[in-house]
Amino acid sequence: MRIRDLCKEYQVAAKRIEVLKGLNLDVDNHGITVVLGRSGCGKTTLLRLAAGLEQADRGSVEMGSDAKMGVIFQEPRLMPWLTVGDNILFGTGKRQGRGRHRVLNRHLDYLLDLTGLKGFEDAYPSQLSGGMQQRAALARALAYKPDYLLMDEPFAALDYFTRSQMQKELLKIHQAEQKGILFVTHSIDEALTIGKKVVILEDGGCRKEYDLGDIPYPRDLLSEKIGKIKKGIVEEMEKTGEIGMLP
Amino acid sequence: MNRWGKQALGIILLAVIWQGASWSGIWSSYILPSPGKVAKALWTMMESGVLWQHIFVSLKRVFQGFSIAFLLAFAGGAAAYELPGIEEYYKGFLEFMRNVPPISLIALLILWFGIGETSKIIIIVLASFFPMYLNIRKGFVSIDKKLLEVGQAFGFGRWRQFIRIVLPGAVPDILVGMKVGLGYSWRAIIGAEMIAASKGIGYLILDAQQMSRSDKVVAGILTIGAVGIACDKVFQVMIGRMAVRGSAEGASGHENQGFV
Repeated sequence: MRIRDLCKEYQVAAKRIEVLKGLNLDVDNHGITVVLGRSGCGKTTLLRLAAGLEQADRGSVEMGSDAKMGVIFQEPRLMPWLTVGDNILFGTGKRQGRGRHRVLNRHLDYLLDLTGLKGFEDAYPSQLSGGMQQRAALARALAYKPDYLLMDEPFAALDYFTRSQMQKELLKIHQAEQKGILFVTHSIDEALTIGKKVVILEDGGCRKEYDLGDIPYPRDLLSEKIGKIKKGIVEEMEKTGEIGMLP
Repeated sequence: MNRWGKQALGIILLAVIWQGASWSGIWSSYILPSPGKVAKALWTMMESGVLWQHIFVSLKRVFQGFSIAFLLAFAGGAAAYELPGIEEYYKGFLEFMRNVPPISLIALLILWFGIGETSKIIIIVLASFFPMYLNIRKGFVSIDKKLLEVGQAFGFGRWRQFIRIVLPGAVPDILVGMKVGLGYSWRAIIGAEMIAASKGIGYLILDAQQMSRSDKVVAGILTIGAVGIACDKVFQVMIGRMAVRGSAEGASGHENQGFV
């Protein structure tokens, strides 16, 4: 996926805010590309443009003509009236069925296994914890068989331990599925844990790129090498002390 | 004592007071028929089948009028969602009609449609349309935009968006509207039947009044209440089956984040 010269403006009250000013970014077909930035820097806008949920003012998001996107939002956004199984199949147009009407669906079984939701396929979202709901949202995106996964701070609302466990599981799933992932976050540690490439988004463009392709998973964030990169990222991000404007 | 016991005790107490009052002889049995007399009238009408006939006629009218009102309310609610601009045109008229009691229109309706079934069905439609329309509209319009985006991300078109997200999301509100609408229809038909009809529970009461049979009047009133409760209960069971846990809060992720 190639993003070229992407521009987007918003009107907030009487003020025009240029969120993205000609942003360029290449998203790896198989690796995890992390976009890192402070709150309100336009990370979510970038993701929404890539997902086609909003229209860019200028510029383009280029990918294969029939490339499919699986979007994972900050909140799970599961349909409260559907069971976990039916929620996972939501984008496919299939149904899980109940009792003896259950349809054998290998892909669903595989996804339930992969996301650790086996045994919960008949539960309703409100019966699940936040972490489990987010797993179901991940499985829903995967069931759609997308070419890319677009993830908008999907673990931001989770507590520390759940979050780090979800990161591990995401790496596992990524290993199994080999999809290109565009992952947006404000957490430097998260970026360093999962990113093959980390891009700092600042002032409407990609300010700096870090290639972490040569550091294998799982990573030790306390290692000297990662510590050095982290220091660089922190210094880079502290240069502009401005607080982001966007909601 | 459980819930049912308490409710039954309240009713028994009322019946005892009623019986006591009629024994006291302060009021004549014409003004206050005794429970025994009412029960006897009720039993006679049940045995001869007259009561069932009247109930059947009234229910049939309710069913017809209610179905029409539901279709109109559903179409109106869907229109308010799909074409938000169009609502302004009929909003004022609806607001006006909402404040006009349907019974007040009966003189005109009889003039236009005669005293046949049509005028009564229109009364029911008018009575039950508004609670259904307002609830169904609310269900459609207040659909969570975040859930709609999920469909958008999967490339759903307008129709799929409506069928797979908007409609199921509105089911709890639709059912509430139907429940309230059903109660309104049942009350409205009795009024309409008391003004112009030759069958139905309302007619039964009016006829009994003209024959000075106050025991039959009371029996008719008891029937109205009992059938109303029965309809409500049947509907409650249907709601319980259909809504499942669909209305359970928070699953779209507003409040319910971050607990494990």
